Amino acid sequence: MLTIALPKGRLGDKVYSLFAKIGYDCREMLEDNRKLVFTSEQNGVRYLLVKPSDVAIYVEHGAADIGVVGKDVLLESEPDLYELLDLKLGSCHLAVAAKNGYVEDEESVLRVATKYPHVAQSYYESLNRQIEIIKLNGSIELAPILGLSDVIVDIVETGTTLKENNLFVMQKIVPSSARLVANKSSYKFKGAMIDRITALLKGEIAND
Amino acid sequence: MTALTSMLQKGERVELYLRRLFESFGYKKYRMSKFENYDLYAENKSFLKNESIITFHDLSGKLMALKPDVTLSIVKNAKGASAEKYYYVDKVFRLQSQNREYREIAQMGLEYIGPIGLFETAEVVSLALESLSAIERDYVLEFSHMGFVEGLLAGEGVTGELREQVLTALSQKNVDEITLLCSRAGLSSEQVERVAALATLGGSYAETLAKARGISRTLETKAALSELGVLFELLDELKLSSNLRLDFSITNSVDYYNGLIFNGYVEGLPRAVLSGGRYDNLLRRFGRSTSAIGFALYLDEVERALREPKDYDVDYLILHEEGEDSAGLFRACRKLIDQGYTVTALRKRPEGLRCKKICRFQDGVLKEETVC
Repeated sequence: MLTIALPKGRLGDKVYSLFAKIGYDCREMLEDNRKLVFTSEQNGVRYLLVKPSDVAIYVEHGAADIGVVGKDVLLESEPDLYELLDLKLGSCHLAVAAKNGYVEDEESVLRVATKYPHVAQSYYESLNRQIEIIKLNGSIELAPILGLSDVIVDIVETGTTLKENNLFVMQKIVPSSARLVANKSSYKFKGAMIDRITALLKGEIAND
Repeated sequence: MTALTSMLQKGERVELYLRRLFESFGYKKYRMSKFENYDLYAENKSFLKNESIITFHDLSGKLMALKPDVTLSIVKNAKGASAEKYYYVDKVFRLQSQNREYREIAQMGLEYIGPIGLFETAEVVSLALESLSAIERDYVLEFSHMGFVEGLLAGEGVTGELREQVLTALSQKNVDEITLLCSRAGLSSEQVERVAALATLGGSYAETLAKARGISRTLETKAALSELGVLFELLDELKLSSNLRLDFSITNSVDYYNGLIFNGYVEGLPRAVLSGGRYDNLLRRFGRSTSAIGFALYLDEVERALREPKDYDVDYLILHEEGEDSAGLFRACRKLIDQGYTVTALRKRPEGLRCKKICRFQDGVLKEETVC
């Protein structure tokens, strides 16, 4: 039995339909219920639906053998995993954004609001720029509007949310998309099945 | 004696078993104090997986550290001209990256310092295999060879910062990233393919070795593969090859390991429980021209997996009142203990104590009460 951790929500739905297409469907998943664990004995898989930022934790600790997680999460937490495939879903960028008309004051310490303190820190370290991190867990766009921070570091998909909040992208830091990850130990013992899934997914993406 | 060892948790039994095994192969137990001069770790930071160390000043003002590692101390103190064989069972202090806290970690390890040939390598590898099999029936010991990985990267012109980035991506088997990095650096598509192939080169020993030969183009890589080949033949002859794998994505502390490196996994545990390899480079740093090979076993990981849940805290709880016949109570307890039971005699039943039977000692006799 292979345990697969998927992120709850839209991305998770897309990823599940990819898995279903390559022959790992699980009828329980389609039933409308509040379950978090779905098993398909027939296909030898079990799906877990977890918070997107927790997928890597489930996989790293072996609670799931493989999983699908955004590159942004991997960059932030740097878990010890195999990153087997870029699924090219949920493409976006980690970027620096600020209020329209904002001009950076190079003399003062930059206040950065973000869900990604590690990414932000190492990005600004590479620029030798001193910053103060303000760690937020949501509604990051609010921070520069209220003067809580000078800029934000966040994922930007289409930029609509930014535009609606009167913000603009200053710099793109790094691209991100959904990745197939595997627990290192699971890969030693269930490698054949994981390799098969990776190859099939790769083929499926190429077809799209 | 068997009754005594049955008391132990399985993790403790494994530890005792391995100590005896290592001793019978002529390895001596290495003991060290909890503290070591901080300089030792400062000078060899890249050998440690994590650079954070607990430090303090001793009374003379010298900066000391709570040891994060035992191998460095063994190497520092191994000055003999002939081969030295040590094993250790010790606590080390390391920062857990997950919760940013220091933890005391139980570690067991084995080091061979001296001239190393096929026999010595096979001895250490066989002990690593036996250590894994003592933990769990299903286990895997996977090998890589730094000579092959470094040789291949250098041969394709992957050096400097690019090499660092490629090695990180390699440890994640991240083919997409390696491909991206190398093509951005201007490598030809055949070169990119050969470098990216490293990440997928893994699996059964013989098959992977054959595939690796297909992309081996320099003297260095060829030498590394032939070393792996000879080792495998010997282990195969000794019937020790069934749990061996090759995987060229292993990159533990590349700066210190040269030659053979290996990681051990057991079914059901999410992380490697054993890691080791050839570390001649570390000896160079201490001005020694000899070789070294060894491995560490992460006992805390192992113990978590081997912990056997207990249904009861104690077999018998004997309740008694003040003023009862003490000698009679003592004899009654002793009688049960001699029959192999665990017994605790108390005035009152403690909350949450799980016991198989409750007895009351009254008027010089033991009477069983109803089971809880």
